[in-house]
Amino acid sequence: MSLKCSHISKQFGRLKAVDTLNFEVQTGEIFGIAGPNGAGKTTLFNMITGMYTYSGSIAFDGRELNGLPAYRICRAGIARTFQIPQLFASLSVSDNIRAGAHFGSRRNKPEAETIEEIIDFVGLGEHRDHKAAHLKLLDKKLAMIGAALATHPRLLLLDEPIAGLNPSEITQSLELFYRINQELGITILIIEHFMKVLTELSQQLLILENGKKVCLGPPHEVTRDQRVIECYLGEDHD
Amino acid sequence: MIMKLTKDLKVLLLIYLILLLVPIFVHTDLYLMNILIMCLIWSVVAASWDLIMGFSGIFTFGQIAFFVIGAYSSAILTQTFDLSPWLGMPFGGVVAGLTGLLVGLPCLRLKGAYVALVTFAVHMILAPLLKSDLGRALGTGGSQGILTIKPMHFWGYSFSSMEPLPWFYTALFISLLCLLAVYRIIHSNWGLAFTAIRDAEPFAKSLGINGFKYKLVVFGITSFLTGIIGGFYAHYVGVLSTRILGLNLFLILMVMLVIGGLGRFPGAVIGAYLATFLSEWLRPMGNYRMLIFGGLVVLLVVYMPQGIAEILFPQDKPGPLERIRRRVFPKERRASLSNDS
Ligand SMILES: Nc1ncnc2c1ncn2[C@@H]1O[C@H](COP(=O)(O)OP(=O)(O)OP(=O)(O)O)[C@@H](O)[C@H]1O
Ligand SMILES: [Mg+2]
Repeated sequence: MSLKCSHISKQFGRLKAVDTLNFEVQTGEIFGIAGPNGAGKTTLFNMITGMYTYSGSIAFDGRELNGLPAYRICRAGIARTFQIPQLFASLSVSDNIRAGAHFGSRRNKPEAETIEEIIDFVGLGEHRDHKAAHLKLLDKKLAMIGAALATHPRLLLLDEPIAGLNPSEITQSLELFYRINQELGITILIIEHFMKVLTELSQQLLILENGKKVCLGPPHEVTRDQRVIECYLGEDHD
Repeated sequence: MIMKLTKDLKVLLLIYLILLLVPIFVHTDLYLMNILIMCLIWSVVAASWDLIMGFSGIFTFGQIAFFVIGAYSSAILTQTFDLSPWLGMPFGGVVAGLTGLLVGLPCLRLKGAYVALVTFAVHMILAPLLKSDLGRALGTGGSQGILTIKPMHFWGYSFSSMEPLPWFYTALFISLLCLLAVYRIIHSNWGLAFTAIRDAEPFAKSLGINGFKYKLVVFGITSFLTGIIGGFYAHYVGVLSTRILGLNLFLILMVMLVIGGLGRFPGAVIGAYLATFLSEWLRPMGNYRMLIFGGLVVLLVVYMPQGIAEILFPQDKPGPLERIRRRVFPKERRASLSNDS
């Protein structure tokens, strides 16, 4: 067991953005999350990473996360990316990654080494010294993933990582996610709208709507679930 | 760790090299020497303010308050316990630094404009506090202020207001130390954390950066440095009153940052020199001086938002010196280009 969410809820005023949710993510797997706009997917990530207060319990490898500040959760081994790319715009790509390596990692590895490895791994060699602000979308996303990886996480949360990319960029990104999972052995939680991508990529799939679990299971089962077809596939699937 | 000799540092050291020699030509001009000393003092305040506002993105308006706290603390300590100003200045820095931490605490949970409001409130409270009975009890001299502050001394030699050279070189030394500290911090992991929090706070936190800690650190450090130079100011000028908490200085300091460019070290230093001289030249204009300064802030913000640093050392294109060099040595340029690739 890697991540265990028990009865977690988040309320914004009257809105229950996440409503008594339960699920478990196993170590080493790719776990997909889908659901219509406003289903509470990003809110869920913000809870796991300590950006919001919430009720219920989230345990990571047996350790309770509820109440820990975001930076401690990172050091506990959980890294994430953001739906709208976030980067330190005025800093170079390598400094963005350095921030993750220096502040987020608990390994005693020379920073410079980590940075080189990561830049190689995500393929940003030629942009190493470029300011993050000047990167194109794909490279921004790669740099964001690179900084997250530099913290040496055991669990990586990806929030709609391929939104806005063209088909060849999507292929490149998906390959990267596989390599992160296989070569680095990092468990991945991925939010995505394209059901096809999720069914290919993930071993388990969670469908959310209005903050509630609609369905959870292996992708081939989930996509056959009547409620899922109604609430989600009906509109988005092509 | 040894400091990396970047362009920023070279510019700063060049400025100090020139300043080192300037008195050879003007040391008999008391008026000019006084302006130069004030330039050195304000450059530290401006660079500290830039460290917290420009590099860390925290909109504080408490810098003059910390300056004044440092000045009063040093003056009172040296007076009451008959101590040396060399002890008074770091003491002023510590008192200002601790106050900075206290002011920083409520600001941690606030964003943008609210931080500005809280810190400006501290600025506004300070004058009545210094004039109050409590202030008087502490030795602030109430509304009258402190009229006799010990001058500096060195190996038994006491500085006098008729001899600007010792003052100048002391200011040169202290300000250089403070500015090197600022430079060092900007290029350290602390600086990385400050700028990361400024650029994208949630991302910074998700990468393991403790936002609270580093915001507090920057409040503490910048007020500490400002307090030290405030202490020097007290001993140099020899009198203190709450008048410096007026809006004039506030506006001039703002011009320093706007001329220099936010987050563009050593832009704020150059901005401080220019604004200090400008303020002196405009003195004959009386009340119109502040009108001009206010207008200048507006014009600069609109037409030169990156400040003079962007003109002298643009970040993404060659600067003026580089462009001249390329025109004068076109071949060398081609050679260096092919070397690069
Ligand atoms: N900070 C907030 N304050 C108030 N309401 C919020 C906040 N964050 C999210 N919400 C609301 O909570 C609900 C869930 O939002 P969330 O961003 O988690 O959706 P999502 O599933 O990620 O959607 P999308 O696919 O559009 O990214 C939405 O109705 C949103 O308006
Ligand atoms: Mg979302």
